[in-house]
Amino acid sequence: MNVRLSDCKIGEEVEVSKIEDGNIAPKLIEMGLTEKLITQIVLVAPLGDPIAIDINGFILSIRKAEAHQVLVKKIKP
Amino acid sequence: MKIALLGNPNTGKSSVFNLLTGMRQKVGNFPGVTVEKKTGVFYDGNQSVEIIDFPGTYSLNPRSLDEEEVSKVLKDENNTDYPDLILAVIDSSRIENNLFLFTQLYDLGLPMVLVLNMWDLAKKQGVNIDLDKLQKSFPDVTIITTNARVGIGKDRIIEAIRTPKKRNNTRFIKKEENPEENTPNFERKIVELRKKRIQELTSSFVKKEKTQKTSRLDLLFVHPLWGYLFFLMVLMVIFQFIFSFASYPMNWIESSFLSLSEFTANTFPSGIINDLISQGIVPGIGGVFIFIPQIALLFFFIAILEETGYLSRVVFIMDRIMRPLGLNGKSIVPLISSLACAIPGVMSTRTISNWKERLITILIAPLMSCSARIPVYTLLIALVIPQGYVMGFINIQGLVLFGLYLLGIIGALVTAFVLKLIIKNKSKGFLLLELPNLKPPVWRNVGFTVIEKVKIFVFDAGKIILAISIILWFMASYGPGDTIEKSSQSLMKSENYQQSTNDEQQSLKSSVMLENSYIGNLGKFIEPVIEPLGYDWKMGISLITSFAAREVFVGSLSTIYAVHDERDEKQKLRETMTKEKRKNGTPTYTLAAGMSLMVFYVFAMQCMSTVAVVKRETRSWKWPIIQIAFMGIMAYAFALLTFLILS
Repeated sequence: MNVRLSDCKIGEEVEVSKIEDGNIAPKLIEMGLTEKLITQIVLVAPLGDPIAIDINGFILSIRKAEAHQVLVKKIKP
Repeated sequence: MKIALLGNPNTGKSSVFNLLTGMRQKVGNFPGVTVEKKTGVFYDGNQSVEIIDFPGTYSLNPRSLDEEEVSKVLKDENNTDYPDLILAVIDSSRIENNLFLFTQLYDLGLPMVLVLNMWDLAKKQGVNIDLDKLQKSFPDVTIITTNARVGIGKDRIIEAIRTPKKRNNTRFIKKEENPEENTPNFERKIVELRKKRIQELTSSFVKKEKTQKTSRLDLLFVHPLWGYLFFLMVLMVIFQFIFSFASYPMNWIESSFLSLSEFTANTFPSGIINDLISQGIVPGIGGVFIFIPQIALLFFFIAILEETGYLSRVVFIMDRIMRPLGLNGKSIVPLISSLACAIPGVMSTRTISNWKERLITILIAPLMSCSARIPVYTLLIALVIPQGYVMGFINIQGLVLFGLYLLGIIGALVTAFVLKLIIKNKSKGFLLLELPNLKPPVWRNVGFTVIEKVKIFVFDAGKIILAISIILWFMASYGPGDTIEKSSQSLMKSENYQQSTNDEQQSLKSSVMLENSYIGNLGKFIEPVIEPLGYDWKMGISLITSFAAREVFVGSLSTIYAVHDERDEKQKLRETMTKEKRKNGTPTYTLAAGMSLMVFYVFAMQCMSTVAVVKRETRSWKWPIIQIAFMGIMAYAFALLTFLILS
């Protein structure tokens, strides 16, 4: 079942299933946030926004609005 | 030979640059634009090699002003900065991510040297790279490994540059493979194709043993309570250093230039040239140099915060707070810098990708109280605010000074909010920010940053401050017709003058000269406008001269009040100002007038250098003019309000 990355909790392991089209999509892909990537939220700023995700050891911070464009599948532990 | 140094941010690119060039570097701008261009020279035997350090970028598809310039230069063979060779720096521990830019550069077809930097760190983190396999994928590129942070690899880089491999017209992605242009989602398809191929390639030669987690420190830095408290503490330490320690070199610079002025005045034959040098040029240069200690200290600390990676954590926790004001988390750096000087502050907005967020940051930056306002604040506070304590321990004068800073900050934030509602913008702002590994700073890099920023200030702001000082000197030394001469003659006949000592006579004379000069007339001309604020024409003169640099206010008052005391001029000035009376016999510097004047200085755009920098950064006169207007209106309105409330 797909959920949005912006709705995930810190530390939940997820697999990116789809990045919605938009201006921001190519930039996210350039930075390594690609489909099939296994990732998780590692830091959340106070007030819940922005968030930081782990891209194979590269910590990328994005706003919730950008994370909203990313659909993910939760990986069962 | 011309070399372009390119790489992602946080790859140790500047370490490589500093390692190669040492002190032989200079900062300029790319022709026509304001993007900083750092160039350096190093010698390979007798041959000198020029190297251009391009701003760090993740891709040749630009998303900020800095990145735009990189791709513009590299795609135009006729550009004067078009390189003969590309030196690409990669953080080995993040090779997959870094290869995106590298393969884009590879496809430009220029001779290339690939520097796998942070080689040790990668090994420590369990990233094992099979160099032979990597070399096979890019056979016509020289690949070397370095640890530039600790200075390892310089010789290997120089050797690789000396004999670069010839390119065999190879491409990572051939032109015909790219999806057709102008098809829907064309941009995304191109990026996806490249990224996919990189992922396939990397999995063949990189083995990762473990993935690294975020450090414990990060949890502190972004904590809802401790994160902000820690940041506040960092700021307090920085400003403590700036305000207490910078005053020693500043006093020293001030007195050196004073004696230099006197020396030139007394040594060279008197006349217009002598006056120009001793009263215009020397004090003008002094007015530039006086700010160097504070600016150097501030950028010393900012460079440390940046080098350690802490600054990106600050951006991370500030972004959500800044956003409702039309700002970006990245606005925090320009705004802090502006507390020392708005010029480097405005220039550091270039990393903000969204035009509206960047513009608002530029427009509000000069509202942060800069170091040039301090001499004005301290003089006026000592004059109208009584000494004493609130609640037994809070110094009243200190409290007022703090209040002035706070007023500037609040004014800036409220203005940002208003501007956000007014300025239209099509594209939505976004934040894509790398949080690099926390690491100790490389002191060499910190040192170079400080030198670079001081140079920018001295040359960019310096020439304008100097030019205006000379214009003001002229306007203060000459007047319409022969009024100066006539009034000096009538002064010399006066009893008061004849009974004075030599020094006092000199001071009285300069005072009369200033009163009858062009500036003096201008001061009297604007008196009706500033009278409601509680000012007279003498303050008007000082307001006008403040346009060179705000701290000139103090010097102008000294001249107009004919203060002369070599031992303690400021003390004497304060005494004179306390005794100063209006026409109706009441004191000029009341609490109301003094506070009104301070509030005026908080808001008014009295800095031509900032105007010039804003013009350059926004590439039009429109924004600096709007900025002067709204800051002027704010200054007048709030000064008027202050005066009315307090009197």
